[in-house]
Amino acid sequence: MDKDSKLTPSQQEYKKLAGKHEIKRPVLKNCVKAFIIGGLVCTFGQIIQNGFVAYFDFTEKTAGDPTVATLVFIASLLTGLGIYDRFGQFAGAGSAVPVTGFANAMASAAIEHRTEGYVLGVGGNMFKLAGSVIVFGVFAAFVIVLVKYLFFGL
Amino acid sequence: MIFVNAFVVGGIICLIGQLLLDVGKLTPAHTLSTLVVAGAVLDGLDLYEPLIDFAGAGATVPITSFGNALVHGAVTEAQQSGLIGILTGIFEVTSAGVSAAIIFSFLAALIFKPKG
Amino acid sequence: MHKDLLYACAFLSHIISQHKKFTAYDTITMKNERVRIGMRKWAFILSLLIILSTTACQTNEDRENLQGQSVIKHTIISQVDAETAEKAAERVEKVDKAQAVSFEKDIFIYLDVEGFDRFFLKDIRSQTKKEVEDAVKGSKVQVSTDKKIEMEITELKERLNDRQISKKKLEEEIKKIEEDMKA
Repeated sequence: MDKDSKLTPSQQEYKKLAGKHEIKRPVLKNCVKAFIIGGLVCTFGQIIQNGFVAYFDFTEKTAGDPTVATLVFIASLLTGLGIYDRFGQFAGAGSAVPVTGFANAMASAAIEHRTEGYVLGVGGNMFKLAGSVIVFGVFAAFVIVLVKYLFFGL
Repeated sequence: MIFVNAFVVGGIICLIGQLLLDVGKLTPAHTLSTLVVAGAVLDGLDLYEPLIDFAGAGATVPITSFGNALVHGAVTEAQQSGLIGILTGIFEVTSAGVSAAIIFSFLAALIFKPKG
Repeated sequence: MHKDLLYACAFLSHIISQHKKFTAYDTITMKNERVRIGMRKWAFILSLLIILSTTACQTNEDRENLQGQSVIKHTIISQVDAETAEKAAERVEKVDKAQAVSFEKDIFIYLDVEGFDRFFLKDIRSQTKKEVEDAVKGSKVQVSTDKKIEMEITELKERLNDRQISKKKLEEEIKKIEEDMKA
């Protein structure tokens, strides 16, 4: 690989040695867990969405917002109670990829840095993971819509 | 039923995330950012809306829908107000999710104590 | 039914106020007696609640019957356009079922699409719109695949069949459906 060629020979040797002792990740088991848990979270979201459509004045399209808000609320609550950590360790991407993972990242960072004060600690650290997501999401959206507007007439 | 579709599609998107983590050896931040950008690209190609029609919450719950919502808001505003609409419309649809996350995270920090 | 509830509440509060405080020794010696009396008391309360609930049910039925006799039946509002629209929509290949309501020249139709066909909802909607507009000349057609619209249209159809709805109310409900479709 190109990266390896920049290292000195002894560094390359060390990298090989470290690789041999690295803990093997059980990829297949993780994938199965992620699929099942991720699917369950989304199914739960579907139930909530159907509930909003049936019992409140929302259409399928407009029910997406309150569904996401509800899931964010539940995730923040579980994070505060300390339950989400164990769930996240077990499920891996199954808990991180849905919007609940986003909410958990923000809530756990906020709670963790509470001791440093609300402005600097909570306010300053809340977007540790969410920041990258928002920055890249917004910039990607900007580029994509710009291209669409200029070259494809939207 | 719509629940089966939601389960399968949601599971597949999380599966892709897990592969990015384990096989691609990306950090969680990298993985989530990649998925958001993927969602934005799919909506740019008009492929994400059909996925939402098919899978319902299976496509709106994962973080990819965040990218889709950003592009959607920008496109709607740009159609109405021209180029400046791209800037004014980006956070229009995602407002609920991001605001909820900020507010509930702050409330959690007010109420709960960090555990060891 | 409110009167019955009040009687039940009064009876229960009477029982609760009768509860006396005993010493531990008294309670142990009186345990058997209390159990016997307690069981009798609960049997009485249970039977009273059963009687109250059955009488409550009866009065509800009577009230419904009374309402049924004096209900107003409105004039029949023609839904011929809606039925033509439904038939035209169901001719479209991927549409499983269609539900429509019509009012003057407006037709509002919900399509039921299942399975992998749901990937093509946008095309199915525009295709169906064309089919219905061809079938019913001069009509303004709005198509939706939203579950909420299905609920609203189905409910409206039922009320139209039972003639439970006046023309003015129909216009209001139609406006609401139109708004929801645009949202």
